[in-house]
Amino acid sequence: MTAAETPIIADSVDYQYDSGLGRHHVLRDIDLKINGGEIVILTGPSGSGKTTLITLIGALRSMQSGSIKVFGEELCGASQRSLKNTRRNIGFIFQQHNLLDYLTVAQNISMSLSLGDRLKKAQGRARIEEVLERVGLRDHIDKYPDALSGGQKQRVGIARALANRPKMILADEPTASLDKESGRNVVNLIQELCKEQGASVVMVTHDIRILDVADRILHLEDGQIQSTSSAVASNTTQMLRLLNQHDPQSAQYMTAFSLALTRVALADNHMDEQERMLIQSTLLEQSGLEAAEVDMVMEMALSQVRCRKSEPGTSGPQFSPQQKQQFIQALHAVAAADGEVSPEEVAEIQQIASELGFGT
Amino acid sequence: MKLGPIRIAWLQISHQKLRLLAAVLGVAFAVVLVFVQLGFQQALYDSSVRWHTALGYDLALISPKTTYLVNPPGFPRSRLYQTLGFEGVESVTPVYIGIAKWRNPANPLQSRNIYVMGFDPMDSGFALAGDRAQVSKLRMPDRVVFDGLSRPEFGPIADLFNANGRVDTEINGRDIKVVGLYALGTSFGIDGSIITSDLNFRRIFSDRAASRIELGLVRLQQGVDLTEVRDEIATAIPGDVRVLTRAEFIQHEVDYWSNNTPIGYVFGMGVAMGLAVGLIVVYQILFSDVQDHLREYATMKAMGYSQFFLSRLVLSEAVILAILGFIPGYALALLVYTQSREATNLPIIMTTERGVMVLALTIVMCAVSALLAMRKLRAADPAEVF
Repeated sequence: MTAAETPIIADSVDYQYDSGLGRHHVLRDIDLKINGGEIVILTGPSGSGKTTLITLIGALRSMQSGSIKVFGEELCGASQRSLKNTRRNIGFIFQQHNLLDYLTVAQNISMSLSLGDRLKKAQGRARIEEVLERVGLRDHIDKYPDALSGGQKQRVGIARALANRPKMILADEPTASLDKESGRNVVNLIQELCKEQGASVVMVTHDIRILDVADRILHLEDGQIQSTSSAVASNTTQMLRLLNQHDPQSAQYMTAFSLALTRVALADNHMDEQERMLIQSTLLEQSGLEAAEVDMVMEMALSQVRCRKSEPGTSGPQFSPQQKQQFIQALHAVAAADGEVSPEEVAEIQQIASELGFGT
Repeated sequence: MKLGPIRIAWLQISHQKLRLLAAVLGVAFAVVLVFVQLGFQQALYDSSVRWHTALGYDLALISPKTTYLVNPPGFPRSRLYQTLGFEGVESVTPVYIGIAKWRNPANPLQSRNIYVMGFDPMDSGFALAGDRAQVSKLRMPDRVVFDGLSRPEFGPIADLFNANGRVDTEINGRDIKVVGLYALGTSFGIDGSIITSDLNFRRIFSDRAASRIELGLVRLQQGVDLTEVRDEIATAIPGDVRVLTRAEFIQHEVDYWSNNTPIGYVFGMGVAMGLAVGLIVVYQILFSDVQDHLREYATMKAMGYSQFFLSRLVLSEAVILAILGFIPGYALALLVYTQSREATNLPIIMTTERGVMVLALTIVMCAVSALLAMRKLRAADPAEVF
């Protein structure tokens, strides 16, 4: 695979911090590939090592062991000088905008242009105008950052990162200092512009509201990359437990609705988009649930509906032979846990398996 | 539109007007301090050789024990007349030097030491004392001409003389008349002076013999080799006199003031203090400026700017401060020079060489501050911006 197709290839990356209390292992054996034009979101709790990982990828920090190739250049053991040159090909978007407050918007952007291929003065200005146009700040070109709102500053930060047309963007919590709406705009903008320019994006965020822009979500936990399903499962379990603990009544009310919906939906073993919308709007009007709660009820019900095998031959859940085998064995083991496995239980297991798409 | 380090430095430093003002004032203060020290030092040297440059001579004879011209020991007058026997010597003028008590005619209770020079009014070499008519008036007993640029403590002699055509006062308890004015000026050792005839000189200093003089002026014929004649005279006559050319005589005086008095050291110290103050002010300003912009600098490093670029940025700030501070400092120094010149009658003047030298010193001073402040740049770690 060429560097253009896979701008980032990380292989068994380890990183440790030395502190007064001893060595702290932040990253363990990280393997990672990021493809051209791909948007990857890196999540994980504080201290999980995601910031360390992104600074390593961004050539901002010297590596200790393993290998990271950015645009085909090995970063491990690279000189400060070549790290600096690698950084020039990357656009950085920071948590705070980090604009130079004594430069105008145009000057701030030209700071990054000065580093790239030498543009003529007129071309440079044209490029700045063009990129500001794209982030919707064409009219603010000669203002100082102090005169802009937080969201506008962050958009200037994006314009600065993109002005040089880098093939990779690294963003660290770009929405952290923004309200919901400006955060959304900023993320959409990053997504849109990167798709246009074919740039890969690695974004670190805590903000679950923006996860949907990702082509892939990587979850870091204790310095290791977890699978998405494990990450989602642990988060969701935790949230459901919290809900049961603090507001058991709402929890039960929502669960009841989702169970009921599952049954309603299963009555004809089918639910199409139109039916889904109808149920959603009805629930909003009649159930006394709020929009977010309705969404969750629907999602819980639908996730169950989705895994039911619909009519044979149409698209139902596709499981691997290994998963099928593991599923049936596990159910047998559960049945055996309370003593003898009766023939009724065996029949029941077979019926469940075939109903949910695990039939052989 | 490429932004080089100088442009960025200017934008950064001009963004915070108050801090810029403080820095410029700090540099200007240092510049004024250095200018004043150097100006006074040069004025001291220049003023101490006023007599050396104002008198007409090619070779000067002094006692080997003479350290400076304010109060020199004497030597036999016959040594001066001996030089007349050498080839190339045209004429000689014996000069008597002493310090007398001058009574202020406007305030008779006040008397001050005045520098007195006596010579034979028939001799040449004293164009300083005025035209022939004025000099010939000195042949009368107890007549003197007075330096109109003497310090005012001697009394408003010039005003009185211009109003009345004569001034009467007392020197060493003897009544004398001022019959003319000349313009020379004061020095650190001489507050005011008079010139009179050799005879009048001995009337003022009754204990002085005509045969001992303090200074001998020798004029040579045109076209003779100065150093050759000097060497001939020096080897032939006894060692109780020294023979110096004009340039050597002037240098002899300057050497005394710079080497044998703490004055050179004191003024040198003053210059060093001025530079130290400027250095500290500029360092403080640059350091806090770097400190305040660490995050931006780390961002610039993350974008791919080098440590070298940032160092050039800080250095540019320093040079800008140096130049911005130098301009008002120079203007203020001119003002101080004019004021002090009027107050002291010392030749405190601005020279191009000094201006260039102080500008260079200022830039070096700011650059050293920048080098110190640059150490802080290493704290701008691009890995910390995330």
